[in-house]
Amino acid sequence: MSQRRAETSGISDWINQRLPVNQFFIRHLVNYFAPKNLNFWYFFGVFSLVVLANQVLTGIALAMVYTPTGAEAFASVEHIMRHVPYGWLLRYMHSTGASAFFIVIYLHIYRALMYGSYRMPRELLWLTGCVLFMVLMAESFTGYVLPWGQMSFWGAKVIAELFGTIPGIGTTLVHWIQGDYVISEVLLKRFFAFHVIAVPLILIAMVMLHIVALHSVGSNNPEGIEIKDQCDRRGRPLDGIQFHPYYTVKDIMAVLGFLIVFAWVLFYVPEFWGLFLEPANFQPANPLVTPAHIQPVWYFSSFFAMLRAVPDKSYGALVMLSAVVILCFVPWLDRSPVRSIRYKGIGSKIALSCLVLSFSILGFLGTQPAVGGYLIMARIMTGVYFACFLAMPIYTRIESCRTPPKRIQG
Amino acid sequence: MRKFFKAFISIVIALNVIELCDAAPIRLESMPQLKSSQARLISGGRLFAQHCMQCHSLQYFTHDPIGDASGVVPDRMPKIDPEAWSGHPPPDLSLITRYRGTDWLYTYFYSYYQDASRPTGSNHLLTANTSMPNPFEQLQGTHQLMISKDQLSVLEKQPASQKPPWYRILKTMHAGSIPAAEFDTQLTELVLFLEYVGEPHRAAREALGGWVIMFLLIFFVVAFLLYREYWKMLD
Repeated sequence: MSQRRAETSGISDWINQRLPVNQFFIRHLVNYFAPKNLNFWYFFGVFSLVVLANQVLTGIALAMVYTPTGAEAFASVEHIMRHVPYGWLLRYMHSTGASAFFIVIYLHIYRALMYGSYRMPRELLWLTGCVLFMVLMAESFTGYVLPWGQMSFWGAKVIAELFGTIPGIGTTLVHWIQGDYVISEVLLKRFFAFHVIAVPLILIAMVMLHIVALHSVGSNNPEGIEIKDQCDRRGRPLDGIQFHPYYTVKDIMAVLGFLIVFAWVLFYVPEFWGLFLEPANFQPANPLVTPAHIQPVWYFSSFFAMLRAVPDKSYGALVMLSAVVILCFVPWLDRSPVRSIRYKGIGSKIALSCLVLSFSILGFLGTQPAVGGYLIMARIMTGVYFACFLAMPIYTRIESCRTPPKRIQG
Repeated sequence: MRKFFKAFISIVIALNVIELCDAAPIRLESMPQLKSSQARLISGGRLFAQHCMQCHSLQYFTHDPIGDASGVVPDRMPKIDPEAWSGHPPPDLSLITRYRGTDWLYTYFYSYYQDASRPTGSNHLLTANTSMPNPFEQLQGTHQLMISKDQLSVLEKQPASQKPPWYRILKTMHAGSIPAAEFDTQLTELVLFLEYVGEPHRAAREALGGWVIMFLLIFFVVAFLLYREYWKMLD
């Protein structure tokens, strides 16, 4: 027994002298101090890692069977659903995972906005997050086209046409992206390559940067105060606790809770009443028949509503792009002396509520035809969405804030 | 929270219903809640083999016990030439319930009415001017439109909640060869069969789901206890 233990320690020593595995884990898990008051909202980071792992693993399995050709793409998905053992499970895990990714990421962004997690010194953490969000959008869009259903095809067409609105080079650019004068198998194969290799590589590299940035500045917390300002003699934050074991056990519990909800959707409502898997996409792509309503999948719906709210296509595309890019400027737009919404004034509270409300209403409007009252509403809500950001330097400066405590209470 | 959740689900369902029957003059009927069983699926499959399979294929549905027992097998399905029927061949129905929904398909067969202006002698409320004749005319009988075509186009523009059910604007002209209630059961079985064809592993999916969730729940309780033990150390 003792001999065996000696051998094990021999192996681990051998490895650690050559590759500092232990040191890495001690540094990033045990000696990584996280604020002791991280609440429910802080679970969404780890949930997004779980979903990413799910997408990668199920994606690898699906790519083994899926065929990216115009003639076979749709049929190969049906082949996975029907004839590949547990293929239906893999496909539903992947399709449910795609929507879950956005739910989790939207809530993760909301958490950061609520507690001011983008404020100094976390600007780069926030910026890597913004880039991750855009990369995720590219990943999900290229993935949505792959089943080659009606909505995949026509969705791809609408997005490709957006590039055509760029003055001067638009049409040439569209043809260059499509590799053809129309949406065809060439685009499908390109999107397959992007979806399974190019974009995931960038995504994973960005996730690593995001985590490196997080571990360098440490987590913010609901109070929005810096735990590193109050340390003991050994330099450990007084209000920090070791990430491992405290947050590892808490996160395991939370992940299981998340997986229960995920499994419920996956096994009982994988289409989620037409939101996660849209009815129109159960029809093979047909370039000759335009669907009555072309609408993107739910997580792009808000941005789609903004695109349609502007009468001119070029400006519409610009507004839609700005709606995402504006997030990058938030660290410099927020002029408040405090970070967390708990201590900010009424202006910030109203603005954050308006932001959530306008984004949700736009999400609904994106699923409706852009006519009459709906169109007017979409225009008002687009204005409200941008006003929440653009007026930030004003309302965060003039509102009266409460002074946050020096230490985390309780 | 529960109220919010219920409201959310009903809005989502309502949106989808509006989406699917936008341009139709009638609202969709809910399919009767018949419990699906192997016998019912086979019976629905037989109806499909007798009345639908002359024209429609189920190309993604290959050999399986229910298909074999009902005679819905790949060798007997028609080979559809996409150029035939003036470029409008009878669509493949493998995924019709996933695309249209079961209520749409159920209502579809109650939406035929006699119309002398059409080459087939009949017209349709959900898909106006369809070139497909009613395959169940003999079993079901024939219906007559009780309102004018102009009134029909007025109804098409109304919001979904104000549209009438089919039986408010159609009346029976000739009764079918079997009683209406029996036809309704047979039709429901056909829709159940096509729902099965749309996703043959659905029953397996729902059965496995229970076990997975149960496993996760047990694991969750263990993880919760572990969490509580560790966090006690902080007090």
